[in-house]
Amino acid sequence: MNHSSQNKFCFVFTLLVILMLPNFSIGQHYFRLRADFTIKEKFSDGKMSLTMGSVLYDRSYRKLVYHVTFPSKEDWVIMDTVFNRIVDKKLVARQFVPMLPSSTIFEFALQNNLDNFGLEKSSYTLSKIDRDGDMVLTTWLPDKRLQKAIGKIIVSKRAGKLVGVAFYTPKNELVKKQIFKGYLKSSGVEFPAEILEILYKVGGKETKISTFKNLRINEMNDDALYNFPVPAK
Amino acid sequence: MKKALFTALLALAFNLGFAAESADLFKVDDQEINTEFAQLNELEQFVNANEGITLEEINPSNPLVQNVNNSSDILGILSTLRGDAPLGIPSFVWGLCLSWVGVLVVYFVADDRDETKKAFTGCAVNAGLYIIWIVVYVVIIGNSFLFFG
Repeated sequence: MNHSSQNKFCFVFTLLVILMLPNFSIGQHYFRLRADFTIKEKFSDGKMSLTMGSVLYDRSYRKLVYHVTFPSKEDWVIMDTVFNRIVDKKLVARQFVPMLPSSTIFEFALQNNLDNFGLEKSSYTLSKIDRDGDMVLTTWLPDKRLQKAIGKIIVSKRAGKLVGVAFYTPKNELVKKQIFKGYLKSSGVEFPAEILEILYKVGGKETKISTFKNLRINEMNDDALYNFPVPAK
Repeated sequence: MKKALFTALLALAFNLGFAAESADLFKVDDQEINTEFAQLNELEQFVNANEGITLEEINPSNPLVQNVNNSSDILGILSTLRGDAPLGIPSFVWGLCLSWVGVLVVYFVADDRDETKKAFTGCAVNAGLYIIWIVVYVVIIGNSFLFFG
């Protein structure tokens, strides 16, 4: 191969690599998550609750779908701040919920932004960083105009992984804390295997344990489950 | 010497006022939690062993279902996934902007008496502002048209 041919070959090769680069980045795009869940709750009045099933979230459909198998078989579809409860393929309840699927821990996990609980992209600003042993604790404050209405959030991380989140009132009273344990890993996405939540209410403490298993990322089959149709009322 | 000691004490007091956050905040007694959830853990195992079973199909006299609600705490489950105030908006603002609708949203979502009171306060402020607007628009501006007309 003469010098001129070698130069042409290098040029074409470099051009091909540059053109292929977007394909490599697309391979890192996580858009879909599925996991089996169990949620156990103990309320301050002594009552308990057990909910089991599977949860699916798709960023393109912007739907959060729960296929509940216990205590009863039903489906919940949350999209655009609307909660739909479907039993035997019939819509039995629909209500407004001030929640977007795109602002949940499922979205944070798919964006690999779970370590700061999505706060970096919120109206909260980082105010303080403390270290206690191998744990890093960051304090986040709400926008100044809202500081009389909502309190700070403290996030703890160990080895770059989210360990806990604590929510406070403007008077610095602890209202809720969540502790994340035992991370599952699938296709480059990490998700907590267990979330322990403790709510501090006037009537007493309430505890909830959410466990997840069989994490699946970007699975291409079962599209209809991710885009679960909501029947007309 | 006295000045140096005073300055040092002042600096110490200043630092103590800004105490660092502690990892103890996120410490949990796993044994206590396991004891607290013993019944639900057994119920979970029972359901896993009897695939497809629903609560209705379990004998009500079974001790595993004593004190277990027959429906899920849907809003509580959804609240685990997001931050504190609904959509990050304070309860007072819900009541202020959406009036009685905002109070209902906070009541059902937050399920907390204090948060509902804040929403109600916002709703009351909304009503007060509305009354003031009526007074200004009808009484003052309305009468001024009579004056200039």
